[in-house]
Amino acid sequence: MNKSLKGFITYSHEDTEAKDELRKRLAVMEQRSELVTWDDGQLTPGDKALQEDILKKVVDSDILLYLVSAASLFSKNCNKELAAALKREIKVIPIILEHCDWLHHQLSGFEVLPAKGKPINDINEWNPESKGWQNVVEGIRKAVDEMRFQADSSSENAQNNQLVEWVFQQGNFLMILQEIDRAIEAYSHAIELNSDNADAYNNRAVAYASKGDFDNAIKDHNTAIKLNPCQAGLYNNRGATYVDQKDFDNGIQNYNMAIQLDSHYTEAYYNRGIAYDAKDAVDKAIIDYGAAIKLNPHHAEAYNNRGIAYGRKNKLDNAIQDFNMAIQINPCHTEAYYNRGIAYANKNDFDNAIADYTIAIKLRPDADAPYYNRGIAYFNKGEFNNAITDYTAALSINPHHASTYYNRGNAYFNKGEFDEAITDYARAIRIDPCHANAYNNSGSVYSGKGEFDLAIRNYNTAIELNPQLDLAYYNRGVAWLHQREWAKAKVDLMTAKRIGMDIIAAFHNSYKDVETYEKRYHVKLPEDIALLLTQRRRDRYPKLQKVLDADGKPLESPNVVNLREQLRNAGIPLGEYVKTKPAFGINTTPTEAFVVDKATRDKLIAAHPSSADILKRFLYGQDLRRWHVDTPHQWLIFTHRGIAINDYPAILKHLEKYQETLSKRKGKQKWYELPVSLSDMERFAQPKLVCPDTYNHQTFAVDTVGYYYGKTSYLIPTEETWLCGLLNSRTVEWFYSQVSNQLTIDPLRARSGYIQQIPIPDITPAHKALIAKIVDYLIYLQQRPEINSKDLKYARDRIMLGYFERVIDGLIYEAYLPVELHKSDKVFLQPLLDEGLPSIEEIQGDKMSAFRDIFELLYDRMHLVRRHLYYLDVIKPIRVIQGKL
Amino acid sequence: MKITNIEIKNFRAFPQIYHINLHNAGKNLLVYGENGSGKSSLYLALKYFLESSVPENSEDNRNRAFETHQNIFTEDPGHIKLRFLSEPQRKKNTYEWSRDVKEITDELISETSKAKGFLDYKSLLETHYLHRENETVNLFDLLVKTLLANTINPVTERTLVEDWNVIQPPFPRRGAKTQIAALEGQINVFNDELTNRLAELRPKASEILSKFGYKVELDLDFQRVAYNRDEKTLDNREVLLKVEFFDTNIPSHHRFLNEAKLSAIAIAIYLSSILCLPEPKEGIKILALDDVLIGLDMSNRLPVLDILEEYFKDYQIFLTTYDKAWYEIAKRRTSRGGKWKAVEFYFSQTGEYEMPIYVEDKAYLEKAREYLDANDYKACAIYVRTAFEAAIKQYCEKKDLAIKYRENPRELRSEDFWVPIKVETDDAGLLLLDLKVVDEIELARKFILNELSHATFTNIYRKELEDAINAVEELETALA
Repeated sequence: MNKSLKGFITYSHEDTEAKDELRKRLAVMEQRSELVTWDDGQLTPGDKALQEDILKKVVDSDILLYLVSAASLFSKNCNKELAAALKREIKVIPIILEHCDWLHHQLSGFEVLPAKGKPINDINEWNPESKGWQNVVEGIRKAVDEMRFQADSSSENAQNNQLVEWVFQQGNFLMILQEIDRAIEAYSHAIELNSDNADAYNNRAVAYASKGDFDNAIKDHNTAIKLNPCQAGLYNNRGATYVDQKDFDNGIQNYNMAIQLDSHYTEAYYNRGIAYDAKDAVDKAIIDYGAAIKLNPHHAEAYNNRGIAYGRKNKLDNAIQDFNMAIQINPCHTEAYYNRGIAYANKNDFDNAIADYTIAIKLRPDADAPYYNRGIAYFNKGEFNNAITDYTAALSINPHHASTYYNRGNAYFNKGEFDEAITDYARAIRIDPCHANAYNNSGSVYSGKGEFDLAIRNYNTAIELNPQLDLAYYNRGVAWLHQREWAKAKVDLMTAKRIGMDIIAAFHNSYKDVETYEKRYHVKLPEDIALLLTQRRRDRYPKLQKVLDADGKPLESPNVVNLREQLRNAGIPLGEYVKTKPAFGINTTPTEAFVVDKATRDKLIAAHPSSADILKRFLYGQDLRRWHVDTPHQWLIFTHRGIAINDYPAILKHLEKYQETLSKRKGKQKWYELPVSLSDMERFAQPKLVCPDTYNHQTFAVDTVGYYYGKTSYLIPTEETWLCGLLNSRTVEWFYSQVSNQLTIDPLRARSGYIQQIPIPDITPAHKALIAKIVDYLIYLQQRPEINSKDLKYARDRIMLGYFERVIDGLIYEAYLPVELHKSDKVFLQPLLDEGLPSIEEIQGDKMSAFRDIFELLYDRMHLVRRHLYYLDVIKPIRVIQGKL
Repeated sequence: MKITNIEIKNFRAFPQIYHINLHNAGKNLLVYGENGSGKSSLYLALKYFLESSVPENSEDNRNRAFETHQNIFTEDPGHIKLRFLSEPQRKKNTYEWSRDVKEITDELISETSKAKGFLDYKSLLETHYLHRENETVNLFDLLVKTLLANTINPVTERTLVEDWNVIQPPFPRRGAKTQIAALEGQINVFNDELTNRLAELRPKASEILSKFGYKVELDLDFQRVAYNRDEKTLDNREVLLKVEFFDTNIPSHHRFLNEAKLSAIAIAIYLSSILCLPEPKEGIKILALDDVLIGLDMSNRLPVLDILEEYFKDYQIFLTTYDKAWYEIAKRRTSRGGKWKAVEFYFSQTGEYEMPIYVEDKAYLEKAREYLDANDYKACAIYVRTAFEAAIKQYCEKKDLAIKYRENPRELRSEDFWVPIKVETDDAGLLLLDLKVVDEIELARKFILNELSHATFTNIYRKELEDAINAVEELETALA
């Protein structure tokens, strides 16, 4: 810094001589531009020395040098000058010229010159007098240096602050440019310059979050809040980061804090609304959006979101009102138009819906959804050409949306352009191989063409993919009618009816009534089927009510969706985990030929000993229970393809009795053969897990003997018995019913594709061994008479069996959801390992009493396993799995 | 972990903020409350607060919305706030349940809710309607739908009453074999569970019952519910209560099983079922008994305090009653050791609304004067009356004066205490009370100190209240 300081000299005119002496001695400092002095002697004679002008000079100076003498202490002007300087906090340096009463003057409060206040004219102190003056000059120089240094450093500080601010703003600017990494660098720099900068931490957190680096983001949020715990905005941002992470509870808590700190914080309400929305707490969300709107009546997004929330609650008029407001505020609000269109469509007001979609398309021509939905609206109005145009437009934007193809297929179908329809259904299926509806509709096309075999094959697949698809059963039933397969037709029609379809109305739509049908196709329907399709009074079945979204999929709570995805990602699919592919059992129709009882079996062996080689112990899926397979008392004649039948004369003779029926079977096998190959023998002989194809609860059992099974059973070849514990657990039952899209009120069906999707968590060998150990307990217990009786004397034994199943559940929960369980201190593996449970082979003596002891140990109200099982449902995902949420 | 503070605002009977301090010790709470004074509201506040932490798809769900319980005299949204002190870390946490905070998401509170015991007098009223045949009583409904309804089956992980509801009509049609088999399977599950539950709790229940002074072995005979395929009904819905006496001198069962004893048996069963619950984390256990002792004789009530002391030592207990005499006794019994706090609720009409009056100390007359100054005559009168009753009952207890016998102690009136005091003499054989004091009290009793005063207040005059306060003050001095 080069600016020189300004000094003002206050003196009595009686001391003019001393004043001049001082100025002379300060000349060097003046030359070096360190200090420039001024006194009223510089006013040229004739100038009217106005008191005010002089005082202005005082105020403008940096230092006031007060020459102290009896005269100056007496002078009014001098005192005024001093007062003005003090008022401005100008540095005052008294210079004592002579002995006088300055010690009782307010000047006594300052550091005086010369040193120790010895007056300059005191011969005893300063001899010669110049020594005194020199002392004064040195004192002044020191003061001037100090002042100049301070001024320097304070400006350095200001410069630093400016730099921090500039770096920080640069970060913000980079954020706008989406240069996230560089923005983070800038914020880090700002933090380096000033580690107390809460805003920089906060913004860096936001930057980290937008990169998906949540750990660092939360760390920075926490630091920011620690630095400034009362700033609502910091909580709001931390909430937003949590919500990005799908941690809605923590998000909401942070918004709560923000709102608590600032009850008028619009965005916090709005954000909390979004979090509630995501948690499915739609009512709360609506309240929060409302609060945001109240605080800011121009909050178009809040209106838009509230509209969506109302829509979810099916309050369509409220929804439309909100979208209106959003549009009024922002006439270019594409989403609001689009959403209003959906609301109108849900009200069956397709004209208004189309108008809105059209605006949305104009505003955002690169989105497929408005085209797709306008297509649906046109379709519903019966304007198939327009619908097709829109679907095609949607597909040109997004060619990977199965439902668009499917819907365009429907439009073609309704126009009677069946080949185009089939092509589109095939495309839908290629994208989504589980699109049951596309299969069903393909079937309908083939039915319409009279190609019933093909039609039925498509219906079969549709039903396999979605066993609740009543329309497919109905369609297949009608196809069977055309094939004159009355029994099959009846089963399908009845199934469709049982699921909830009004088959009479459907039949009426297509054929008017049974009589018309019979005339048209020159056929007479069997009486029972005719009755089934004839309108009767009091023959109404309640329809299944499903909430569907625009895509036709049921709406689900995020609790469910998140948990399902979490489980899915918790391990590798069963299909990949086991080495041999799981599959269903053998189709043994006609069973009277292939399946024989003990008496017949003995006879066959007696007739020829070779029969024993291909008589296999055999059972059906419906005979299976959990854990243990009871020894079956039926045998299967295992005549695989390519068998040398003449080696088994007794068998051949037996089968010949059924030759006529056997020959009618379709397929490549010879009349005496089962539709299996020799290699299937290996499949059955090895250890495996088996379950029936329909069941109310997961019903897997361990088969180490190598029994044979009918087609109503599903087999998973593996030696790992712990998998049986896994597959029978509540977690897997929940997951399976979820992914296979089956309603739990109906029996579940084993569907290979979905069973193979069951994730197998990666757990330690000790964990698996423990589960396998308890599976062995259960296999043993399942065979015990106490368990199989109804005698209440053994009630506790049956509780024991159920309790051991729950213990396995606990171990499986811990395998799938270790973080959640450990966070809540609910662990099973360690306490169970600590007990050193014996394996079933290790138990000497009475196994049953050993199991009872183990049960009493683990069931004790103080045992960790019991306590953790009992209080386990305080954990949210567990409540979901147990069906309590 | 213990509850240290309770704050109730605009909930049910409470139209303002009420705050109960249970101190860092997390004291037990003994509550006296007149009918309509908010005693049961306090019980429900605790119950619903805890249950809001275990949201569920159940019928009870409507109780889980705070709005249902909003005090009718005010629009101002209310809340319930509980502060907990967690022992090892000495950390305090406050939790809130209100219209805005519908669900308490803390797992510890959920655990507390699952470990709690809450029984109210309404549950026990059913003992009065139990069907009695010869020498047995059928407890089936009382057990399944009330006393054990919320116990959890360790196998199905549902409550007993949920297991029961699963096997209710409509039953499958005849011939629907699989459905019938499934139903019978579920009935077996229920049978096993009820059998096991009864077996588990019987030893403790017998033990507790013996503390009541009934030396009996409790035998709950359950034969199994069976499905009648022909009639499509559930048969044998019976848990027969049999009591076997240890004493040789056996009275007839019929006489033994009166309401009071059934009441004791029901309480014993309920308490033993709570004692069977697995131990919760941090051992936070709450037991609340809302007026459940009213069906018992006074002589059987005192043992309850011993039972609580012996078996529920580590529980935080909330005991409420509307029986003033029992309250006073219980209060004296529990006053030692500093584990209990006693509070009183009175009913009052102030301005436009009814409100409970909450008293923590005994300076009733002081409070009466405060209300007099505030021109709330109704509240003033209640406090004068309370002061009067407290003074005479205390004196009778202190001096062990013979009090008129009443079969039901609830029917004890101030008259019963006042009459013997009027004729009490001192050591010198002189009457204890100055006749002037007696006259003044008699006069005041006509108008103000009358038992039924809270129902019949029509015209109260300031002068009369002042006189009554002075009279009771003189009485207090005389009896001191």
